[in-house]
Amino acid sequence: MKAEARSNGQTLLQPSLSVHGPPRAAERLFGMFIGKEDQDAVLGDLAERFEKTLCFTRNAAKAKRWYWLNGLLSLPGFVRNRLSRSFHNPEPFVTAVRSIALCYAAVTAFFLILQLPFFVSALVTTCVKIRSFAFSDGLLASGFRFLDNCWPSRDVFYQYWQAFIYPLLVILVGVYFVRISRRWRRVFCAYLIVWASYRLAQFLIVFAILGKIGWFSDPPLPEWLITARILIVLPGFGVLAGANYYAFSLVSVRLRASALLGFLLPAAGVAVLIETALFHIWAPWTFEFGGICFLPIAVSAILASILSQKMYVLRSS
Amino acid sequence: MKKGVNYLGEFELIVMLAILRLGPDAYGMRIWEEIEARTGRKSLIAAVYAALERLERKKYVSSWFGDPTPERGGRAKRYFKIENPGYAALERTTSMFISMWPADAPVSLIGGS
Repeated sequence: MKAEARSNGQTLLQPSLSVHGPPRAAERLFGMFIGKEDQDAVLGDLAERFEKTLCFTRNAAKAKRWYWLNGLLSLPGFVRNRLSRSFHNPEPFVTAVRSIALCYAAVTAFFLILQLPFFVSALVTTCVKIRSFAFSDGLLASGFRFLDNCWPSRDVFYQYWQAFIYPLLVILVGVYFVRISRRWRRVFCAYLIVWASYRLAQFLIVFAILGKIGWFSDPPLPEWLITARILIVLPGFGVLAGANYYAFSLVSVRLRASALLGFLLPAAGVAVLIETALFHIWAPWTFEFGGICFLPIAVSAILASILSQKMYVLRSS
Repeated sequence: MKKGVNYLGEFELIVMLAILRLGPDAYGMRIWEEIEARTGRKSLIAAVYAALERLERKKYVSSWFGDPTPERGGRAKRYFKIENPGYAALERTTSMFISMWPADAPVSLIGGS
Protein backbone atom coordinates (compact mmCIF):
# COMPACT_ATOMS: atom_id res chain seq x y z
CA MET A 1 0.00 0.00 0.00
CA LYS A 2 1.27 3.38 -0.90
CA ALA A 3 0.43 6.68 0.68
CA GLU A 4 1.39 10.15 -0.26
CA ALA A 5 3.51 12.25 2.01
CA ARG A 6 4.59 15.81 1.67
CA SER A 7 8.20 16.61 2.30
CA ASN A 8 10.04 19.83 1.56
CA GLY A 9 7.30 20.95 -0.77
CA GLN A 10 7.58 17.83 -2.89
CA THR A 11 5.15 15.00 -3.11
CA LEU A 12 6.89 11.74 -2.43
CA LEU A 13 5.68 8.23 -2.77
CA GLN A 14 5.91 6.71 0.65
CA PRO A 15 4.74 3.15 0.95
CA SER A 16 4.09 1.24 4.11
CA LEU A 17 6.75 -1.41 4.72
CA SER A 18 7.02 -3.13 1.37
CA VAL A 19 7.80 -6.74 0.63
CA HIS A 20 11.43 -5.62 0.56
CA GLY A 21 11.66 -4.65 4.22
CA PRO A 22 14.99 -3.65 5.75
CA PRO A 23 17.36 -6.62 6.03
CA ARG A 24 16.38 -8.51 9.14
CA ALA A 25 19.92 -9.57 9.95
CA ALA A 26 21.02 -5.94 9.83
CA GLU A 27 18.15 -4.88 12.08
CA ARG A 28 19.05 -7.56 14.58
CA LEU A 29 22.73 -6.61 14.46
CA PHE A 30 22.13 -2.89 14.88
CA GLY A 31 19.59 -3.61 17.62
CA MET A 32 22.40 -5.11 19.70
CA PHE A 33 24.28 -1.85 19.63
CA ILE A 34 21.46 0.64 19.95
CA GLY A 35 20.18 1.42 23.44
CA LYS A 36 16.83 -0.08 24.33
CA GLU A 37 15.34 3.39 24.72
CA ASP A 38 16.39 4.39 21.22
CA GLN A 39 15.77 1.13 19.40
CA ASP A 40 12.27 1.95 18.22
CA ALA A 41 13.15 5.46 17.15
CA VAL A 42 16.45 4.67 15.41
CA LEU A 43 15.43 1.41 13.72
CA GLY A 44 12.14 3.02 12.75
CA ASP A 45 13.95 5.99 11.22
CA LEU A 46 16.29 3.69 9.34
CA ALA A 47 13.33 1.61 8.12
CA GLU A 48 11.49 4.72 6.97
CA ARG A 49 14.54 6.03 5.18
CA PHE A 50 15.09 2.61 3.65
CA GLU A 51 11.56 2.67 2.25
CA LYS A 52 12.18 6.11 0.77
CA THR A 53 15.47 5.00 -0.76
CA LEU A 54 13.71 1.97 -2.20
CA CYS A 55 10.95 4.17 -3.53
CA PHE A 56 13.39 6.51 -5.28
CA THR A 57 15.85 3.95 -6.59
CA ARG A 58 13.39 1.12 -7.34
CA ASN A 59 16.26 -1.18 -6.60
CA ALA A 60 15.96 -3.39 -3.53
CA ALA A 61 19.61 -4.44 -3.61
CA LYS A 62 20.77 -0.83 -3.70
CA ALA A 63 18.45 0.15 -0.87
CA LYS A 64 19.67 -2.77 1.22
CA ARG A 65 23.25 -1.80 0.53
CA TRP A 66 22.43 1.71 1.66
CA TYR A 67 20.84 0.33 4.85
CA TRP A 68 23.79 -1.89 5.71
CA LEU A 69 26.34 0.82 4.98
CA ASN A 70 24.59 3.49 7.00
CA GLY A 71 23.96 1.17 9.92
CA LEU A 72 27.49 -0.23 9.98
CA LEU A 73 29.08 3.20 9.80
CA SER A 74 26.82 4.30 12.64
CA LEU A 75 27.73 1.37 14.92
CA PRO A 76 30.59 3.15 16.75
CA GLY A 77 28.26 6.09 17.25
CA PHE A 78 25.53 3.86 18.69
CA VAL A 79 28.00 2.30 21.12
CA ARG A 80 29.33 5.71 22.13
CA ASN A 81 25.77 6.97 22.71
CA ARG A 82 24.99 4.01 24.91
CA LEU A 83 28.17 4.35 26.92
CA SER A 84 27.62 8.03 27.39
CA ARG A 85 24.03 7.43 28.47
CA SER A 86 24.97 4.71 30.92
CA PHE A 87 27.45 7.03 32.60
CA HIS A 88 24.78 9.65 33.00
CA ASN A 89 22.74 7.29 35.13
CA PRO A 90 20.98 9.20 37.87
CA GLU A 91 21.59 6.45 40.42
CA PRO A 92 24.93 7.29 42.07
CA PHE A 93 25.43 3.84 43.60
CA VAL A 94 24.96 2.01 40.30
CA THR A 95 27.24 4.51 38.58
CA ALA A 96 29.87 4.03 41.26
CA VAL A 97 29.76 0.23 41.03
CA ARG A 98 29.93 0.41 37.25
CA SER A 99 32.86 2.78 37.39
CA ILE A 100 34.70 0.50 39.83
CA ALA A 101 34.01 -2.50 37.62
CA LEU A 102 35.23 -0.63 34.57
CA CYS A 103 38.35 0.54 36.42
CA TYR A 104 38.96 -3.06 37.46
CA ALA A 105 38.69 -4.13 33.85
CA ALA A 106 40.93 -1.29 32.71
CA VAL A 107 43.61 -2.09 35.29
CA THR A 108 43.49 -5.77 34.37
CA ALA A 109 43.74 -4.84 30.71
CA PHE A 110 46.73 -2.66 31.47
CA PHE A 111 48.52 -5.55 33.13
CA LEU A 112 47.62 -7.82 30.28
CA ILE A 113 49.07 -5.37 27.83
CA LEU A 114 52.27 -5.87 29.81
CA GLN A 115 52.08 -9.47 28.61
CA LEU A 116 50.46 -11.13 31.58
CA PRO A 117 48.27 -14.03 30.62
CA PHE A 118 44.71 -15.01 31.62
CA PHE A 119 42.45 -12.07 32.04
CA VAL A 120 40.91 -12.64 35.44
CA SER A 121 43.94 -14.32 36.89
CA ALA A 122 46.60 -11.68 36.54
CA LEU A 123 47.88 -12.33 40.03
CA VAL A 124 47.98 -16.09 39.57
CA THR A 125 49.78 -15.92 36.29
CA THR A 126 52.22 -13.36 37.58
CA CYS A 127 53.26 -16.10 40.00
CA VAL A 128 53.51 -18.53 37.08
CA LYS A 129 55.67 -16.10 35.18
CA ILE A 130 58.01 -15.40 38.07
CA ARG A 131 58.16 -19.09 38.85
CA SER A 132 58.96 -20.06 35.28
CA PHE A 133 61.76 -17.53 35.09
CA ALA A 134 63.09 -18.43 38.51
CA PHE A 135 62.96 -22.22 38.37
CA SER A 136 63.12 -23.08 34.70
CA ASP A 137 65.69 -22.21 32.14
CA GLY A 138 64.50 -18.65 32.18
CA LEU A 139 65.97 -15.20 32.55
CA LEU A 140 67.68 -15.84 35.88
CA ALA A 141 69.33 -19.00 34.67
CA SER A 142 70.43 -17.90 31.23
CA GLY A 143 69.74 -14.29 30.54
CA PHE A 144 72.11 -14.15 27.60
CA ARG A 145 70.33 -16.89 25.74
CA PHE A 146 66.95 -15.32 26.26
CA LEU A 147 65.96 -15.18 22.61
CA ASP A 148 67.24 -18.68 21.82
CA ASN A 149 65.78 -20.23 24.88
CA CYS A 150 62.82 -22.53 24.46
CA TRP A 151 60.71 -21.06 27.27
CA PRO A 152 60.98 -17.47 26.20
CA SER A 153 60.37 -18.50 22.59
CA ARG A 154 57.07 -19.96 23.59
CA ASP A 155 56.37 -16.98 25.82
CA VAL A 156 57.05 -14.64 22.96
CA PHE A 157 54.61 -16.59 20.87
CA TYR A 158 52.00 -16.37 23.61
CA GLN A 159 52.59 -12.69 24.08
CA TYR A 160 51.54 -11.91 20.55
CA TRP A 161 48.06 -13.22 20.95
CA GLN A 162 47.62 -12.72 24.68
CA ALA A 163 48.45 -9.07 24.36
CA PHE A 164 45.64 -8.77 21.86
CA ILE A 165 43.01 -11.36 22.74
CA TYR A 166 42.81 -11.05 26.50
CA PRO A 167 42.72 -7.26 26.70
CA LEU A 168 39.97 -7.40 24.12
CA LEU A 169 38.06 -9.83 26.30
CA VAL A 170 38.62 -7.66 29.35
CA ILE A 171 37.41 -4.59 27.50
CA LEU A 172 34.33 -6.49 26.39
CA VAL A 173 33.71 -7.60 29.98
CA GLY A 174 34.18 -3.99 31.07
CA VAL A 175 31.73 -2.82 28.45
CA TYR A 176 29.29 -5.46 29.63
CA PHE A 177 29.64 -4.26 33.20
CA VAL A 178 28.39 -0.90 32.07
CA ARG A 179 25.26 -2.88 31.32
CA ILE A 180 24.78 -1.68 27.82
CA SER A 181 22.37 -4.40 26.98
CA ARG A 182 21.54 -8.00 27.56
CA ARG A 183 21.94 -8.46 23.84
CA TRP A 184 25.68 -8.01 24.25
CA ARG A 185 25.70 -11.56 25.51
CA ARG A 186 25.37 -12.69 21.92
CA VAL A 187 28.46 -10.74 21.04
CA PHE A 188 30.25 -12.41 23.93
CA CYS A 189 29.08 -15.83 22.85
CA ALA A 190 30.33 -15.19 19.32
CA TYR A 191 33.58 -13.87 20.73
CA LEU A 192 34.04 -16.90 22.96
CA ILE A 193 33.51 -19.25 20.05
CA VAL A 194 36.16 -17.38 18.07
CA TRP A 195 38.42 -17.31 21.10
CA ALA A 196 38.05 -21.03 21.85
CA SER A 197 38.56 -21.91 18.15
CA TYR A 198 41.62 -19.72 18.03
CA ARG A 199 43.15 -21.33 21.08
CA LEU A 200 42.33 -24.78 19.79
CA ALA A 201 43.92 -24.02 16.43
CA GLN A 202 46.92 -22.53 18.14
CA PHE A 203 47.54 -25.59 20.22
CA LEU A 204 46.91 -27.94 17.35
CA ILE A 205 49.38 -26.13 15.15
CA VAL A 206 52.03 -25.19 17.66
CA PHE A 207 52.16 -28.32 19.73
CA ALA A 208 51.35 -30.87 17.08
CA ILE A 209 53.70 -29.54 14.40
CA LEU A 210 56.37 -27.52 16.15
CA GLY A 211 56.37 -29.90 19.08
CA LYS A 212 57.07 -32.84 16.77
CA ILE A 213 60.12 -31.22 15.24
CA GLY A 214 61.46 -30.50 18.69
CA TRP A 215 61.40 -26.75 18.59
CA PHE A 216 60.31 -26.67 22.20
CA SER A 217 62.62 -28.84 24.24
CA ASP A 218 62.28 -27.77 27.82
CA PRO A 219 64.97 -29.04 30.13
CA PRO A 220 63.69 -31.59 32.64
CA LEU A 221 63.42 -30.41 36.21
CA PRO A 222 64.44 -32.51 39.24
CA GLU A 223 61.66 -34.77 40.46
CA TRP A 224 61.58 -33.27 43.95
CA LEU A 225 61.09 -29.77 42.53
CA ILE A 226 58.16 -30.87 40.39
CA THR A 227 56.53 -32.58 43.38
CA ALA A 228 57.12 -29.55 45.61
CA ARG A 229 55.64 -27.25 43.04
CA ILE A 230 52.58 -29.42 42.63
CA LEU A 231 52.05 -29.69 46.40
CA ILE A 232 52.71 -26.07 47.30
CA VAL A 233 52.00 -23.93 44.29
CA LEU A 234 48.93 -25.56 42.79
CA PRO A 235 46.60 -25.19 45.82
CA GLY A 236 47.75 -21.60 45.93
CA PHE A 237 46.76 -21.17 42.28
CA GLY A 238 43.38 -22.64 43.00
CA VAL A 239 42.73 -20.36 45.97
CA LEU A 240 43.94 -17.24 44.21
CA ALA A 241 42.12 -17.97 40.99
CA GLY A 242 38.96 -18.91 42.87
CA ALA A 243 39.11 -15.69 44.91
CA ASN A 244 39.64 -13.73 41.75
CA TYR A 245 36.73 -15.32 39.96
CA TYR A 246 34.53 -15.04 43.02
CA ALA A 247 35.24 -11.32 43.40
CA PHE A 248 34.50 -10.94 39.74
CA SER A 249 31.24 -12.83 40.19
CA LEU A 250 30.22 -10.75 43.23
CA VAL A 251 30.50 -7.55 41.25
CA SER A 252 28.54 -9.07 38.42
CA VAL A 253 25.86 -10.41 40.79
CA ARG A 254 25.56 -6.92 42.20
CA LEU A 255 24.98 -5.73 38.67
CA ARG A 256 22.72 -8.71 37.91
CA ALA A 257 25.05 -9.71 35.14
CA SER A 258 25.47 -13.21 36.44
CA ALA A 259 23.67 -14.83 33.54
CA LEU A 260 26.70 -13.96 31.44
CA LEU A 261 29.12 -15.50 33.91
CA GLY A 262 26.95 -18.59 34.00
CA PHE A 263 28.10 -19.04 30.44
CA LEU A 264 31.44 -17.27 30.34
CA LEU A 265 33.23 -18.90 33.25
CA PRO A 266 32.31 -22.52 32.56
CA ALA A 267 33.17 -21.88 28.92
CA ALA A 268 36.53 -20.49 29.96
CA GLY A 269 36.97 -23.47 32.26
CA VAL A 270 36.12 -25.93 29.52
CA ALA A 271 38.44 -24.16 27.07
CA VAL A 272 41.23 -24.39 29.61
CA LEU A 273 40.52 -28.08 30.20
CA ILE A 274 40.68 -28.72 26.46
CA GLU A 275 43.98 -26.91 26.36
CA THR A 276 45.22 -28.97 29.25
CA ALA A 277 44.27 -32.16 27.46
CA LEU A 278 46.01 -30.98 24.32
CA PHE A 279 49.08 -30.07 26.31
CA HIS A 280 49.08 -33.56 27.71
CA ILE A 281 48.63 -35.26 24.34
CA TRP A 282 50.97 -33.27 22.13
CA ALA A 283 53.44 -31.71 24.48
CA PRO A 284 53.76 -33.90 27.56
CA TRP A 285 57.05 -32.28 28.49
CA THR A 286 55.19 -29.03 29.14
CA PHE A 287 52.38 -30.63 31.09
CA GLU A 288 53.97 -30.20 34.49
CA PHE A 289 54.24 -26.49 33.87
CA GLY A 290 51.69 -25.34 31.38
CA GLY A 291 49.00 -27.92 31.74
CA ILE A 292 48.52 -28.76 35.34
CA CYS A 293 48.59 -25.22 36.64
CA PHE A 294 45.48 -24.47 34.61
CA LEU A 295 43.47 -27.25 36.26
CA PRO A 296 42.74 -25.42 39.52
CA ILE A 297 41.97 -22.30 37.54
CA ALA A 298 39.47 -24.18 35.41
CA VAL A 299 37.89 -25.88 38.43
CA SER A 300 37.66 -22.66 40.41
CA ALA A 301 36.15 -20.89 37.40
CA ILE A 302 33.39 -23.47 37.22
CA LEU A 303 32.85 -23.46 41.02
CA ALA A 304 32.76 -19.67 41.16
CA SER A 305 30.23 -19.54 38.37
CA ILE A 306 28.01 -22.08 40.17
CA LEU A 307 28.28 -20.03 43.37
CA SER A 308 27.51 -16.81 41.58
CA GLN A 309 24.51 -18.44 39.89
CA LYS A 310 23.21 -19.58 43.28
CA MET A 311 23.68 -16.10 44.66
CA TYR A 312 21.90 -14.66 41.68
CA VAL A 313 18.95 -17.03 42.16
CA LEU A 314 18.82 -16.25 45.91
CA ARG A 315 18.97 -12.55 45.23
CA SER A 316 16.31 -12.72 42.56
CA SER A 317 13.96 -14.74 44.77
CA MET B 1 33.45 33.89 26.08
CA LYS B 2 31.59 34.58 29.30
CA LYS B 3 32.28 32.04 32.01
CA GLY B 4 29.50 29.47 32.44
CA VAL B 5 27.78 30.49 29.20
CA ASN B 6 27.37 27.61 26.79
CA TYR B 7 27.39 28.02 23.05
CA LEU B 8 26.21 25.42 20.60
CA GLY B 9 28.68 23.43 18.55
CA GLU B 10 28.44 23.52 14.77
CA PHE B 11 26.49 20.31 14.37
CA GLU B 12 24.36 21.05 17.44
CA LEU B 13 23.43 24.36 15.87
CA ILE B 14 22.47 22.66 12.61
CA VAL B 15 20.36 20.11 14.47
CA MET B 16 18.63 22.83 16.51
CA LEU B 17 17.86 24.80 13.37
CA ALA B 18 16.49 21.67 11.70
CA ILE B 19 14.16 21.13 14.67
CA LEU B 20 13.14 24.75 14.45
CA ARG B 21 12.36 24.44 10.76
CA LEU B 22 10.40 21.21 11.09
CA GLY B 23 8.30 22.35 14.05
CA PRO B 24 5.85 19.70 15.24
CA ASP B 25 7.11 17.22 12.61
CA ALA B 26 10.63 17.11 14.06
CA TYR B 27 11.52 13.50 14.60
CA GLY B 28 14.81 11.65 14.02
CA MET B 29 14.45 10.75 10.35
CA ARG B 30 13.02 14.12 9.32
CA ILE B 31 15.80 15.97 11.16
CA TRP B 32 18.36 13.74 9.48
CA GLU B 33 16.80 14.31 6.06
CA GLU B 34 16.42 18.05 6.62
CA ILE B 35 20.10 18.39 7.49
CA GLU B 36 21.13 16.47 4.38
CA ALA B 37 18.71 18.36 2.15
CA ARG B 38 19.58 21.84 3.41
CA THR B 39 23.31 21.53 4.01
CA GLY B 40 24.14 18.92 1.38
CA ARG B 41 26.18 17.26 4.07
CA LYS B 42 25.91 13.49 4.41
CA SER B 43 25.56 12.56 8.04
CA LEU B 44 24.98 9.37 9.95
CA ILE B 45 21.88 8.66 11.98
CA ALA B 46 24.09 7.96 15.01
CA ALA B 47 25.62 11.44 14.75
CA VAL B 48 22.18 13.03 14.68
CA TYR B 49 21.05 11.05 17.72
CA ALA B 50 24.30 11.78 19.56
CA ALA B 51 23.75 15.51 19.05
CA LEU B 52 20.10 15.21 20.10
CA GLU B 53 21.13 13.25 23.18
CA ARG B 54 23.63 15.96 24.16
CA LEU B 55 21.08 18.70 23.59
CA GLU B 56 18.52 16.84 25.67
CA ARG B 57 21.01 16.40 28.48
CA LYS B 58 21.62 20.14 28.44
CA LYS B 59 17.83 20.61 28.56
CA TYR B 60 17.87 22.49 25.27
CA VAL B 61 15.43 20.04 23.71
CA SER B 62 12.87 17.62 25.03
CA SER B 63 11.57 14.46 23.41
CA TRP B 64 8.54 12.22 23.52
CA PHE B 65 7.42 9.14 21.65
CA GLY B 66 4.57 9.22 19.17
CA ASP B 67 2.33 6.34 18.22
CA PRO B 68 3.75 3.40 16.25
CA THR B 69 3.19 3.77 12.51
CA PRO B 70 2.98 1.07 9.83
CA GLU B 71 5.45 2.73 7.46
CA ARG B 72 8.10 2.27 10.13
CA GLY B 73 7.32 -1.38 10.71
CA GLY B 74 5.18 -0.56 13.75
CA ARG B 75 7.87 1.46 15.46
CA ALA B 76 7.23 4.71 17.28
CA LYS B 77 8.71 8.06 16.27
CA ARG B 78 10.69 10.10 18.75
CA TYR B 79 9.71 13.73 18.42
CA PHE B 80 11.87 16.63 19.54
CA LYS B 81 10.98 20.14 20.63
CA ILE B 82 13.19 23.08 21.53
CA GLU B 83 12.83 24.25 25.13
CA ASN B 84 13.38 27.76 26.49
CA PRO B 85 17.07 27.22 27.42
CA GLY B 86 17.52 25.87 23.88
CA TYR B 87 16.07 29.02 22.33
CA ALA B 88 18.39 31.07 24.55
CA ALA B 89 21.42 29.01 23.48
CA LEU B 90 20.42 29.31 19.84
CA GLU B 91 20.09 33.07 20.15
CA ARG B 92 23.38 33.35 22.04
CA THR B 93 25.29 31.33 19.44
CA THR B 94 23.88 33.12 16.41
CA SER B 95 24.42 36.54 18.05
CA MET B 96 28.00 35.54 18.70
CA PHE B 97 28.49 34.77 14.99
CA ILE B 98 26.86 38.05 13.98
CA SER B 99 28.88 40.10 16.47
CA MET B 100 32.08 38.47 15.29
CA TRP B 101 31.37 39.10 11.62
CA PRO B 102 33.42 42.06 10.34
CA ALA B 103 31.43 44.68 8.46
CA ASP B 104 34.06 44.93 5.73
CA ALA B 105 34.41 41.20 5.20
CA PRO B 106 34.74 40.19 1.52
CA VAL B 107 31.78 37.81 1.96
CA SER B 108 28.44 38.67 3.47
CA LEU B 109 26.89 36.84 6.42
CA ILE B 110 24.03 35.50 4.34
CA GLY B 111 26.26 34.22 1.54
CA GLY B 112 27.56 35.75 -1.69
CA SER B 113 30.07 38.54 -1.94
